[in-house]
Amino acid sequence: MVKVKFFGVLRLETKIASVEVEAKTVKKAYEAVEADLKAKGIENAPTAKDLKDYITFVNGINIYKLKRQATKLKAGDEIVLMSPVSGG
Amino acid sequence: MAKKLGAYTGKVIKINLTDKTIADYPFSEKQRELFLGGKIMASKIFYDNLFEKIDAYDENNMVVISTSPLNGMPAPSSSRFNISAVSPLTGLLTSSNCGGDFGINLKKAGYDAVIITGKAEEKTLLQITDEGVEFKNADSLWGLHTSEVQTKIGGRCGKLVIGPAGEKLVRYACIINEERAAGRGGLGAVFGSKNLKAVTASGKKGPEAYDKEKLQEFNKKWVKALKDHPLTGKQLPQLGTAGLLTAMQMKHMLATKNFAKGQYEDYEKLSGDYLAENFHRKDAKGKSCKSCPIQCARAVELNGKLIKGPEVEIIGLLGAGILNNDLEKIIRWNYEMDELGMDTISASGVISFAMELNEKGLWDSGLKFGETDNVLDAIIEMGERSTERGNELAEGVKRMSEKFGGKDFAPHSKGLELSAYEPRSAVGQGLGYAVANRGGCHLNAGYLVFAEGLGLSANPRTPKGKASLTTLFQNIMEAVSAGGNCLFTVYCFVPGFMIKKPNSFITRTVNKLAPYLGGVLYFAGKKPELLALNLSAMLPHAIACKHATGSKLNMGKFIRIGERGYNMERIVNIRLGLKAEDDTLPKRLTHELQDASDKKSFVPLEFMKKRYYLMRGWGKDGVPPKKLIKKLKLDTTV
Repeated sequence: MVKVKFFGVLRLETKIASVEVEAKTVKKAYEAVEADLKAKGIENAPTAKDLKDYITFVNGINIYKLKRQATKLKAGDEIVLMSPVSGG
Repeated sequence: MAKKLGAYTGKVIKINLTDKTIADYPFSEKQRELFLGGKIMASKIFYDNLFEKIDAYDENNMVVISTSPLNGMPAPSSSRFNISAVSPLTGLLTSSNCGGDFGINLKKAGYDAVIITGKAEEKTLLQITDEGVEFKNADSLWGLHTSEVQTKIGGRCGKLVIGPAGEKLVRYACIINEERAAGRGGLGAVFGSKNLKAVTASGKKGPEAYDKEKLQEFNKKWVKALKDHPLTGKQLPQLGTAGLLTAMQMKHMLATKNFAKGQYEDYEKLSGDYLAENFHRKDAKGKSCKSCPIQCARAVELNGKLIKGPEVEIIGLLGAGILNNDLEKIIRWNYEMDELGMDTISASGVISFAMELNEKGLWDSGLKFGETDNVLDAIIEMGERSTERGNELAEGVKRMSEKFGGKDFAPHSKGLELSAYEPRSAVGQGLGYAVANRGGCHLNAGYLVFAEGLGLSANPRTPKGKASLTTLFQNIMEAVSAGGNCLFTVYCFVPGFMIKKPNSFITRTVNKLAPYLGGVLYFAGKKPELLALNLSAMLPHAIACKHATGSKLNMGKFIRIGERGYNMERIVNIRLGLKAEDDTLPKRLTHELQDASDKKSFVPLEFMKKRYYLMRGWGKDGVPPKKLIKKLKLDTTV
């Protein structure tokens, strides 16, 4: 299983802090998260297409420094999904 | 007088606490057009009056409380006024910006700015109304905490107050207005040194805008743009500044263990999400600034009382900074600091530094990383200077390092404690910390950390382009502050789609080009005639100030005003003894790698500093030359 953690607006809007999914790539993880949220009956849950617009880290590394959505995953990996933020 | 500007009262006064005299201070319409208001108006007053070194506690030190043209006008997030003085921490000019209601009330009382000098013989409350200025005895207010003193003063007026920390000359004491703070630089201690406990302002009616209808119409569009933007319409209202913390962690920018590292393993318990889920009271309003559609402040409950929650800086510094994962304790400490009247950033930096001094055997204060049972005691002791330990902590990081050692890891620049952003993973932010007029302030630095990873993703470890971007950001933020808006309104500068789609080809291309765009943007800034236009989506502030004042402002002229402000502060600081070698950071950040496997994980300060001086048009000694002073019209008197 891969743990997918939600941060920021995504977390507040879905009221979900994390989900665990089976997936061999980041792309498959997006699809599995969509299915998981749908199964949980989350209102306005993001689709896999929406999730691609979140900044995505695999074990702390941005997927654009890896193989993007083709980045391979293994059991125990951790994905973080978040949006750009501001403040100061 | 050629014309009458709108949005200004047209009056500045000088109040001498020593002999209780009040005099008009001449500040012309031309000067208002060139120096706008707020911190730049204050800088001009210092520029024209301060020519040699002066101690912050010298009775001749001036406190300039200055409003901005947009204070009280129909414009979003526009209540922010400014307080400036020579700082007890840095010995240089400091300025602090506050979102309470005082600025609006000062304009209603009939003043654009008030200069306070001298030292009162007795504890004093200064009462400024549209009928005049009164000096009131404040013996009954002395010793009270900041909320108590405001309650006791009562009435419908703007109130600027200090707490025990200001009275006891804690070098980073702040001034509080409602629940907002003019936090940085120790302004509260300057009040305290003058026996000044509070200043109130009230009046019936403020000045009118030059073109009220146009301003109101523009305001509607601007508010809508802020509400539609993903940062100012969603993230900041829902998460506050605490929403930054996770991004800081992921980007290795979360100052951890007194800036030894950029990541903290227990960050999730400190995140904005955790704060929102466990402490934030969404039904509570009134904690944010006046006239603000963003409403970023958090309302939290502590012992049954609704209070203003902590910002990301204290969460970072007293969370990751001291290896503490207990957010509830941070909420309590934040409240105590506000009540005592201490800057939460400096006070937090002092505590983390004391812990490292202890760990290294340099000073046993009893404070230890990861142990939090005695932190509240230490905060109260430092705020009241009630113990030997508290007395040492009240002096700030720089003086502590001079006494106990640890200069290489003392987290300050020019004497002002650094904010919670670890700059080895945002080197442009590191440059900003080092060169900022105020000292180690994330905002006065130019807040490049937004472009280097939090909002955008420009390469955070390349020094390329950072000098020009820092210059441009500083100038824009300086002007926005002077206009009276919150700096968060600048986020509209970034098109919403880049925030909604950070992985898109366009966004990634802009991020890659950002270090190279800096030069182009800087060139445009140097040639304001190239920006003789007003794009409301980019810099609506210039248009709002134009409608409010009647001054023929455009984006180029507006940015030039910011450049004036930055240069005047620099010149005043040089008169106060600033040297190029003071534009620096602790060696930990410039000589130690944050990540042993990445040889670029340090702040290449000297490289960037040279370029920064060049971009600013300063000499190698960091001094603005006469031709720049002339070009910027800094000596304008009438």
